[in-house]
Amino acid sequence: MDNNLCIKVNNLRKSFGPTKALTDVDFELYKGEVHSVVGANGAGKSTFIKILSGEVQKDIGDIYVFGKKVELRNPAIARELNIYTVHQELRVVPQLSVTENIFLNNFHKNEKRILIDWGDLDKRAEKYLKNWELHIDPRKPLGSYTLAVQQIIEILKNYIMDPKILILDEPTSSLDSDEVKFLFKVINRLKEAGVSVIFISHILEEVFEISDRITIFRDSKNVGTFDSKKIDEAELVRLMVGEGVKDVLTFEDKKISDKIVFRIRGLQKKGFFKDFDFKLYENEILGIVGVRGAGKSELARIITGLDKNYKGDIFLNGTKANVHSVREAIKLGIAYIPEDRKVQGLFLELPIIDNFTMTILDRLKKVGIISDNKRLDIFNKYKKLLNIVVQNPSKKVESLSGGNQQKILVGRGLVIQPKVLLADEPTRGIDVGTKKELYKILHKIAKEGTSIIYFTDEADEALGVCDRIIIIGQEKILGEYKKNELDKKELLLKMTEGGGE
Amino acid sequence: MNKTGFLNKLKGTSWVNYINIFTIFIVFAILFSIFVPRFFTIANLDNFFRQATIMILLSIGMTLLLLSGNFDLSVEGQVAMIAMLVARLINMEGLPVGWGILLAPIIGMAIGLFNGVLCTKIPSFIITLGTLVMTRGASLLINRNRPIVGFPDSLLAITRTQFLGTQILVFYALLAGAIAILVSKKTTFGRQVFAIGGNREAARSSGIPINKNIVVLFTLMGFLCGFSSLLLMGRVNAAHPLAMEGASLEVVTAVIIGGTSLYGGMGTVFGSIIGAGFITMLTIVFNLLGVPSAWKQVILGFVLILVVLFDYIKKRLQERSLQ
Repeated sequence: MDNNLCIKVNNLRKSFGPTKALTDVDFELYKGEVHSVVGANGAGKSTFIKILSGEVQKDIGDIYVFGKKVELRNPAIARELNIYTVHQELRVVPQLSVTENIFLNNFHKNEKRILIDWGDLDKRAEKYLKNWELHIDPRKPLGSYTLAVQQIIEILKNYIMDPKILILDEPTSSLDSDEVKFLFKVINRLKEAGVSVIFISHILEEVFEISDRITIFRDSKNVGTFDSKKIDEAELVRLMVGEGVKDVLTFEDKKISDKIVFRIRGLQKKGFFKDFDFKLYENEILGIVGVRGAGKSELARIITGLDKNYKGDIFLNGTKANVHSVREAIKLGIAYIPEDRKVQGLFLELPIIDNFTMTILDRLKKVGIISDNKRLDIFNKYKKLLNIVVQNPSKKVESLSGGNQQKILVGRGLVIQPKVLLADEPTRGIDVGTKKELYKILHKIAKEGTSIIYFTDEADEALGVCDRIIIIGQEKILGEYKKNELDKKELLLKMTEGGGE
Repeated sequence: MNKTGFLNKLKGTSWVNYINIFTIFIVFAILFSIFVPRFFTIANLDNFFRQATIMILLSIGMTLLLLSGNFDLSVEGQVAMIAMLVARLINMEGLPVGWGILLAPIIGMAIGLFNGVLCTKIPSFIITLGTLVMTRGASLLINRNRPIVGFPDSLLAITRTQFLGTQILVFYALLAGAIAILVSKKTTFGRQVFAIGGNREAARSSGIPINKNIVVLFTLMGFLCGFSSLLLMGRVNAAHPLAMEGASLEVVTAVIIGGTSLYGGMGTVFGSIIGAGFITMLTIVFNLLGVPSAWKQVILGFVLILVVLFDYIKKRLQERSLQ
């Protein structure tokens, strides 16, 4: 038994319904190493991380921590085994002071007192901060500092629990390049202290800079673990993408007219867009592609008037269309399918029919009263088009499967017969079969005259569905390509381009 | 593990699904009819409907507010203050009764508008708490802490006119109930109210005018308060500065035991009407029995917890069966 082996995973398997998230995954983590896990979206890395942090339960497979077989039934068990996770969505309390955040999990550790000695804790916090060269006042609320500082404090909070294994899930996604450098300094310090770090990032440059070893996930499998000095970026991307292109999406050709339907000029928003320009043609499906945090959803929110904090002009059919609300957008013929169907999209506890007709109720009235017949007529029409499996439309929408829920949300966009449809990750979290159905439907309506802006971070999807792709990131348009002008490898490279100019 | 076992045991029994305010109401009504003398009489039934009216009107407005994820603590203060103000204007300042009747709902709507506009920005709990304290204070000021007693017949007529064998008062509640049920189920406004309370984020991204609807809801609540103040004046032939004390929370209790979620998005106007009826029934029974009315509160609190608890269990069972 190797004493330096911290985690050993054998034949790990996990499925969500019919979707395989992990297939026979093996993995080893050694003491004091920084081990990156990379893979395209849906490759299985986040399921893997969630299993190690106890948030998701494996189906089969063995996990050994320091040579002992363990069952990570919940996050508390993982923490007892000294496995700590810093999630991408920070779990800090911005209203509390820096000190309070650092000691949030163990105010009373090693102490037998009843009341908290704040003076002492502040001093201890100061010492930690000094060691980590973080020059901030521990008495001030954490929320008054930047996201980067909050990130470091979150790591520090886990660090004082004396972790043996620390999982950092996309810690750099909201940091600029100087902040990333600082974070890497912190990670190296942890490494020196003998902590093993599992590091997740989309940006390959960072992965090469910080890791000792890299494990690549593809299609729910571990396709290889490499010494970071013995593999180059091109090879890494090749492994992430795979050789055989499977399941090519093919659609009958549709003609794209040269009529400009929609246009954005000189769009500026701090932290997201510097001087964005693009056009959208009739019948076109335009992909806006970028890694998470690149600003895709922000762009959709600006176009629909949900975010008014920007500069720039938006045009629809040549007339200005900077709207102030979704209501206005709908009136102009701009429909919006929001990203997260459970949070921004559906009214889970309302009936299916309500969810579907919520934006068009005024059209379905007879002397002020909503006509059930009109409602059902229009629902049945789209039910057929979208092939939604529904027995009783007055049941709660949450009783539907994820795929059917998503179809309801798409239907709500289509039912206004939009000129422009904004689809923000419209196929996230649904099965392959439903995905294909949705692709087909979107192509059909594009052919019939609707222009679509398709926001996605999945390369396969962008290449399969879109007529043209605009890659965004680092507040810029990183590239614009017609369909067939680039392949998956180039697209992934472009998307994950580092912070360098 | 124990908890799971308990839930699984309940799952096999369908009776859990039948525990709601409607069945509780009927069971209590039957028990009272058997054991409480003079409960099940025509005269008492009439009395019941007359007493329930204000409660029902206020719970209708409160239901819509709760469905939208809002809350109005100020209703009791509004009713008391408007009654005092209108009473003073009519009895002491010589305002014609007709103007008084018109003025009451208008003042209510003005207060509601005030609440509504502020509640689009600040949580309604805080704003309406402020309005409650203000209106209660104002109602004390209006006649230096004293009630105003005895109104012209033309004012009393608003409640006491005979219609279909009983006082017209009863029909206001029935009419308002019918309209509210229709509005909540079959109008754009009604469905949008559910949507706002169900998922505000989703309501915004579907283009629902959230702020406008919230202002309308509070204004409607104000209207109902103003109208209720007239009914209160007519029923007891007096305006009292401390009238309706504790009524706001009682109305909220009626709405919640009627099955409306405190978090919004779920509930029915019909349930609230039954809830209001239940509370009125308890009041009447304890009056008949000569039991201190504090017992009503004990039982009401218990029923509230019971209903919400079983609602929680039902939900857990549903989630389980979905998996």
